[in-house]
Amino acid sequence: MTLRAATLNSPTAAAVAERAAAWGPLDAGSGWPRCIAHEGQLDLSADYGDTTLPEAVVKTVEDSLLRGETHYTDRPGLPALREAVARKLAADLHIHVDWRNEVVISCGEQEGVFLALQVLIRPGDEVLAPDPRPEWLDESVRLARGVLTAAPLLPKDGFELKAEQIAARLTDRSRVLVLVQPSNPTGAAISAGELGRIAALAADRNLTIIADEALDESFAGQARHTSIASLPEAAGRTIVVGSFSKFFGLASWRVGYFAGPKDAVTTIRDMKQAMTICTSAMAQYAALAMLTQVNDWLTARRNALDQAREIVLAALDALGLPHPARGGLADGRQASPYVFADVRPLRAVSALTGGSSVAFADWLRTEAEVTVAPGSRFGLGGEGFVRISLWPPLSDLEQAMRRLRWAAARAQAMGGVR
Amino acid sequence: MMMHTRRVSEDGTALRYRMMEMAKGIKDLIALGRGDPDLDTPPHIVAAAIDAMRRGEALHMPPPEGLFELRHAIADKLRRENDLLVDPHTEVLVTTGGQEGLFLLVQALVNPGDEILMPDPRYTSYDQAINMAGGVMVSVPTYEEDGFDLRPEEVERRITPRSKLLLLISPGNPTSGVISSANKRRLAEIAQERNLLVISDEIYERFIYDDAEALSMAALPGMRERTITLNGVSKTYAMTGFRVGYLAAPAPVIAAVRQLKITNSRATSAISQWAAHAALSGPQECVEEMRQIYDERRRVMMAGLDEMGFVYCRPKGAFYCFPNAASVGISAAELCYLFLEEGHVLIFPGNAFGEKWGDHLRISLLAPKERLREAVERMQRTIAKHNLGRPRPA
Repeated sequence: MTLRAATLNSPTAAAVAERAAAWGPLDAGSGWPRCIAHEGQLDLSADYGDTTLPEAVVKTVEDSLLRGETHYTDRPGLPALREAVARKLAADLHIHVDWRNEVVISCGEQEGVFLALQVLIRPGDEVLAPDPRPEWLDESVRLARGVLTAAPLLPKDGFELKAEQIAARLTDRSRVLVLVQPSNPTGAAISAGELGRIAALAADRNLTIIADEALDESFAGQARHTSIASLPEAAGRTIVVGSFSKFFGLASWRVGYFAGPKDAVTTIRDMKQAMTICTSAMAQYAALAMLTQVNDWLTARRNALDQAREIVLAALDALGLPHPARGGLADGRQASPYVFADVRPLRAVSALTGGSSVAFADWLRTEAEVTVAPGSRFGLGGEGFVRISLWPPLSDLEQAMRRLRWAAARAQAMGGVR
Repeated sequence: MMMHTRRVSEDGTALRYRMMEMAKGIKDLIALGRGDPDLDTPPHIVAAAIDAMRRGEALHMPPPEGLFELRHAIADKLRRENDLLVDPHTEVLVTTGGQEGLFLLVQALVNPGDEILMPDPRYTSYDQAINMAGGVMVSVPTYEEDGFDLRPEEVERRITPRSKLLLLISPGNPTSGVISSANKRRLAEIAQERNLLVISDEIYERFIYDDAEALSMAALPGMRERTITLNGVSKTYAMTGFRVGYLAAPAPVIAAVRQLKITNSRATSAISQWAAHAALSGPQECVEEMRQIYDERRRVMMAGLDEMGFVYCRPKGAFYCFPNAASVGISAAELCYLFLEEGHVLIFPGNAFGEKWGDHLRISLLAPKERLREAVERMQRTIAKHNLGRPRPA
């Protein structure tokens, strides 16, 4: 962070600077809130899927407020919500946890991961995480005074995390493995076979696994990725982290959950108590209604994501831009709320951008008034790619893809000169 | 299970939650434990939350620093009630409850080995924030005979070259003590002389009784640039379930804490922020009404404590009593378990708020006065049944 010279002598500025010096610069989410778009800009960069809420959800929250449920809830969360989360995990992902003491409602995915890291690692411990990965993860590891070791996700592997990439990076200090699937930003999932190898590795080296599955529910139809927490050999060492911000559209409510073996989960819960006591009561009621009352709405939302994906993939295919992520479904379909596209083949554009994904995003914002998230924001492995979010309205996506094609054609016609 | 977990120390917080777990399922329980107001959130605040939801405010992810409208309402409130001028754009941050504010602040300001001076007894939920940053807690004793005011000389004598922060909670939890304005002024001088930063937790500021004053540390001369004011709407407006607090501090602190907030929780729930906005910018009569209710309850409980022969200092703020129950001859923890198991009254023992307070009880005044009276009678019956505090029959 930068401090204005005029404030450098103030006592608080000195303290902040001293602490920051011990840490290195504070730069979590340095991209935030860069994605704010002006009128007319089409924003495909958001990593959450806000939407107009179904009436049943609004009504459930309204009723809870009118009943006077405006006080602390049970520390781990409303029993009914924990029960619903446990049911969902069992039905959809074959993860079996006891809602009474193995599920905790959090203020979102990031709180869950942050707290789990704080509890699981000691200063200097190594945390293996994929590259590319969610942009806030590095800072979360650093705040726990851990060291992040990046295992690359390679386009040639469809961005699937490979056990061998993890194995090559294990040391005596390796303690935690973070799996993000479906992956943010690539959208890829890990096949059951590869997960088995990863689980065996984790058991062999006694690694604890944080399975960030915030993007769950985003798959087409009923198909899902395989969760490592559903493998018997990994269940006892895995904390699953989930979110209501993505598929369920409750990002502004800040609600998610974590689940796993009782002893670890209760310790993380104690840490949560120290940080936020419990999660907002009304946010928990909104999440409960989402899980129990609005199945048709969720199906429609899932279908809309499928349509959005087709729109974007068709445009990318027409431009010859690769999107190598494999979804982990039986038929290899790519199915997630993001498309991670290699934009380097647009040679005329690359002549302008030098192949930098940040420069490409700037170019697209200027030339097409479309905002996407540059891949390098998510780690070195994302360079050359951009993340396109499938959450915006279909009409916005269609228009954005038209503009992309138009801008690419214009760059081509201009021969790489702006 | 083979996970390596870093122990969260088995401390006062764990003790409190263990007792709350035990109390679950007791049908006629009188819960005088957790500091969660039993009074309803004022209806205009609930209506504002519903209205915000109905007009689609939940569609927008709030910025990490908090909604523009709420930051302005906070700045207005601080000017109006605390004589404090802050810039809502750079000097205010909305947090997910006051506790997140403290947690993030400590992470932003404390290096391993830095010392944090804080009064004893203390709200132990803050311990973990300090431990996580590697900070060293330095307890400053407070005394029953002072009404748990904080003696500036006790702070001064514990300052070392590693002292960085002075954490003040006034009115205090668990003691309900209030730091007098004279002592605050002296503490402000000490902070400036010895280059300490001050975190002033003012979450109970609106509930003060008798002749007590709630002076804001940041409003004292020379203190603005070294004080972080921590507050929230949970206690003042009986809205703990909304999870909204806030910090007001010099811009560099807010900028650093904002970055941490992006990593930890990204933002505070939008609808909760609109409810907090209604609380701070709407009619304030509800606060005085609640204060009078707590004041009345305080008197009921003090009368009961007199009957039981407990020594206590008159609570000057917040909504707790912190009597000394040494006269019963057993530890407060044992006594609280008896009260819970036999009298069905949930009270926390003082050792949940610091190791030295094993004779004390923290009684929340968060039940109607008839129920408080009933609680006193149940406690008296328990004491009589076990012949506590009387010579045992030969």
